[in-house]
Amino acid sequence: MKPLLEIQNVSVSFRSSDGDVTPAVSNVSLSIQKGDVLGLVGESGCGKSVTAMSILRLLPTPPGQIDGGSIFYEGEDLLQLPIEKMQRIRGNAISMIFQEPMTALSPLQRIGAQLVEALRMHPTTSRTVNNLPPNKRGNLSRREAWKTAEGWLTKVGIPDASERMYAYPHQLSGGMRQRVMIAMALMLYPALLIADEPTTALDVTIQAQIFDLIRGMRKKDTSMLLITHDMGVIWEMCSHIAVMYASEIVETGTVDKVFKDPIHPYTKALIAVIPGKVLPGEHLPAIPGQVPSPGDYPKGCHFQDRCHYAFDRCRQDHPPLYCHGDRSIRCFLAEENP
Amino acid sequence: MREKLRNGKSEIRNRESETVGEDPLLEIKNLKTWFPIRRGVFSRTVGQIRAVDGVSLTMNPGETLGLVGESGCGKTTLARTILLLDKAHSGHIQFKDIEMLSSPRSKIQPLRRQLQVIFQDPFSSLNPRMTVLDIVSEGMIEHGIIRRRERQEAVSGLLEDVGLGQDALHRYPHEFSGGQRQRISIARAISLHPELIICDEAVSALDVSIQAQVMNLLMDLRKKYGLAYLFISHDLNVVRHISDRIAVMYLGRIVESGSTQDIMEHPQHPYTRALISAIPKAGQPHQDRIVLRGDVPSPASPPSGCPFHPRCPYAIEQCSQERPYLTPLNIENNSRQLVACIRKDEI
Repeated sequence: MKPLLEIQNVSVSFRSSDGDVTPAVSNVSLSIQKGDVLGLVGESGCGKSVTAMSILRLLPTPPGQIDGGSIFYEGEDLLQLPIEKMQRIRGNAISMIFQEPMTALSPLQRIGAQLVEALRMHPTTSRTVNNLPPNKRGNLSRREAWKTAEGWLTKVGIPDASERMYAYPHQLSGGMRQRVMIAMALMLYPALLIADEPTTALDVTIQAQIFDLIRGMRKKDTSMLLITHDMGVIWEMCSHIAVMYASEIVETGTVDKVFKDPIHPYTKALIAVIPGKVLPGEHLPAIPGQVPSPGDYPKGCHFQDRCHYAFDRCRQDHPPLYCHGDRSIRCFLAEENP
Repeated sequence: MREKLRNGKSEIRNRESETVGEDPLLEIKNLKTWFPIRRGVFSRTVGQIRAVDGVSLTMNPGETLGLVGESGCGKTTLARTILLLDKAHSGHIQFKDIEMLSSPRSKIQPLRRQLQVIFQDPFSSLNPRMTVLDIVSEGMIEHGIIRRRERQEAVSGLLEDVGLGQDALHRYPHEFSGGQRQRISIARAISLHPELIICDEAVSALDVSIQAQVMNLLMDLRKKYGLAYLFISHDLNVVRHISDRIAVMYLGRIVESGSTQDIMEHPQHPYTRALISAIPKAGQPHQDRIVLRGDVPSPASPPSGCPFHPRCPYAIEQCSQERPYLTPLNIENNSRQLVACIRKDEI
């Protein structure tokens, strides 16, 4: 089956004003099938968000620059599309939930106005009012859009939706704002939902509410790319996982298999370090050293300095991504079929 | 000289550890910290934000108490009140044998040395214009532990303790990563040989791999110097790993406290149960979780009675009228698990 979204060898770098080039994403390839939930996990600065932003071409250019690769969505290369056509993809086909809802919503506009604008801006494939005849779709009047938006606020669990439509973002709590973002992302029925750390700014009990909501609202065939640094979240929400380290994908596979049998030493360490796996008070199996800073990656494998298994070859050559069935691992130890 | 000081200290500690339970290190009784809400031209006080609203806690020497709760529940205000950085409205804080809220400044000043803090944000808690040497030695010189000319040697030893190289001495905070900065904060905190260190979300801003390093360091130092930690975090996974006891805070009050094992395995308060069930647990079978309704109410107008009753699945009418107090779970067998819920015996 052809994947819904296929990212092939995408590289992104940032240029500073004095000409320095810092790689943020190198040769990332990912694919998402219809209905999959792919979790992209990694530490801050590893390039997770930049990868997500490049899919919708939201990176500010300059300083950002996509150096190569292609991102296929239903056969079209998003990186080659003219920007007007990109507008058709954004929201309708692929929509995004950002980490910090306060900065993603306009502080100057009421919630209702922002939702209505989104509904009316994306008319072409708008399936938002299911009970409308097909010929009326896409031409939502202000009043219809307002009603639809209000309905969605209720659906995402916001009490007194009709009043909240008149609220400004700062009048809502963090959890409520994130619900508004979710409503905004889902009301256009996207085929792919990208969620970039949607709950990192929220408390655990609110996180549980939000995940419950996303799980319930997401239609069976909606695919999702969930970006997080929390292995627990991956386990709860995702069907597939991709681990990123220092601008590269180091391991991919299904969540079940990767958690049961991680192969890349970094993935192994990430899974071993989850608190709760070690007896309280005992030393946690921490990964020694620091994450190398972008632009300062060592020759050879990026993880070599922190890896218990590193040998000469890791310092000389850069390991490619070895594919074995539905898994791929960027480590010389995985060269042979495991 | 540092060695001498340390040896002297460990003797004191050995004596103390024999009397654990009788002579608490820190005792907080019914502490309230309120912030006035001011409005209008004349800044009239129109209400109070009850950030800490009647907290009682006891900590023994060498013990690690984990304080968990969601953002806005008053964890940080509680810490700041203990450190006398925020003014308490009423209540008692007894540190060793000194009542901190009513004693004169001259009596409190020497105690501050023994009560240190590590803040959450390693980017704003270190002065960017001071070198590591200055940052770490400032307190020791101020409190007369070392003389200025001894500072290089003293700081070198401390940096070694926290796993930083000697080349760090003359560098500035911006040259370090988040994890390394937190190590500098830890070096500064232990430089005064404190008995209690308040760690306010000390590892929350760090990446997982670095978080584990810093937690290991904190556990090593605890063993080495017999430190007590008040470990504040919103992350139950982290708190569970490092704490001997856990106290759960909700809207300015402690709703449950007890040994780590009791709290994690047999949580009694409905809020604790929801909190524990909300942690995503990697590698364990998926189970039904308790999803709470609604948001945390504003501490400016907390609900009457039990602060948790509007979100509580077990709330009855009485919960909105009667304020529950922390009482032992089981009075007969003298359990040390305290729960503030009037229905704790039924649910």
